[in-house]
Amino acid sequence: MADEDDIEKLIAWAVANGWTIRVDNKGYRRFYEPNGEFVVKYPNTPSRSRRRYLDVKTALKRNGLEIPPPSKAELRRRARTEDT
Amino acid sequence: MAEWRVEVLWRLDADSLDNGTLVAVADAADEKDWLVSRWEDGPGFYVTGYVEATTAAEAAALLHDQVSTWMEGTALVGCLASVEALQLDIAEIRANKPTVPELASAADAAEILEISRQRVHQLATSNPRFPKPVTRVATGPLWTKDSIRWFNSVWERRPGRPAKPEHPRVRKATRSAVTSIRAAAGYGRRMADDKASESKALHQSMADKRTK
Repeated sequence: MADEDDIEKLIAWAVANGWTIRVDNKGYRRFYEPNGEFVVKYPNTPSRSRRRYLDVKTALKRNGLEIPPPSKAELRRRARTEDT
Repeated sequence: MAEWRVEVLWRLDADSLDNGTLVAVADAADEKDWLVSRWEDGPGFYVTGYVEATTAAEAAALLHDQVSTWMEGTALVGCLASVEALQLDIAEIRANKPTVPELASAADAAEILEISRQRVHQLATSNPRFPKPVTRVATGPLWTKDSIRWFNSVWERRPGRPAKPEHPRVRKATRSAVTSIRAAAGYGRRMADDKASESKALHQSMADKRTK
């Protein structure tokens, strides 16, 4: 299951890279490229959130959002989570 | 039966696809639990869905037919341009793959190679097998981590102080000194041989006189 944290991080990253995220009246988050084109949307409460998160990520990558490798701090955090 | 992630590309005949139309298509696809996203190379969109099938070909055909039927009921004229069926774990690996490669500064390269930062710069200029940096920034060159790891696997380390190369003039001088020593030794031997033969001849002549 996708953590709400994951999608929030993805949104924050997209915004930091010039993308716009608009929330519609159903609570869907719509992703717009820096040039203003709508790309994809993410439901407020998806039934299979992990899959939907990965599908949105794939769509954003395909439309030019660069996804960097995880930082050392992130890798350390993951290792700590796996240990516990 | 396994579950497959299938993605089909609907390519529009129109010159462009406005946001309003794509949002409407995405909303309509929600009812079928499909995800719609913009095609990056032109007017069109991907439809992503999950189907159960025994083979990838069967899964691809299933969603292909469903989307074809669905699109027939709309005013969006176009065709299905591609279809891809992936096993779920492959789809996840692909989605999580970063688009930017892992980069390494001289300090990172030093950590991987277990040498000093200065030695990294030294290797970069002296070792022809050391990878070329992908870019240079104000703080120095940047390499991909994969290329540094590759170098680490092929690098033949020679620990310790490297042997001093012999200076050509020193070698020449040494060689001439050796030659002269040998020559001198040869001269001495010849002298000794001459003396020995002279004394032998003297002894012989004295012996001859005595017998006479």
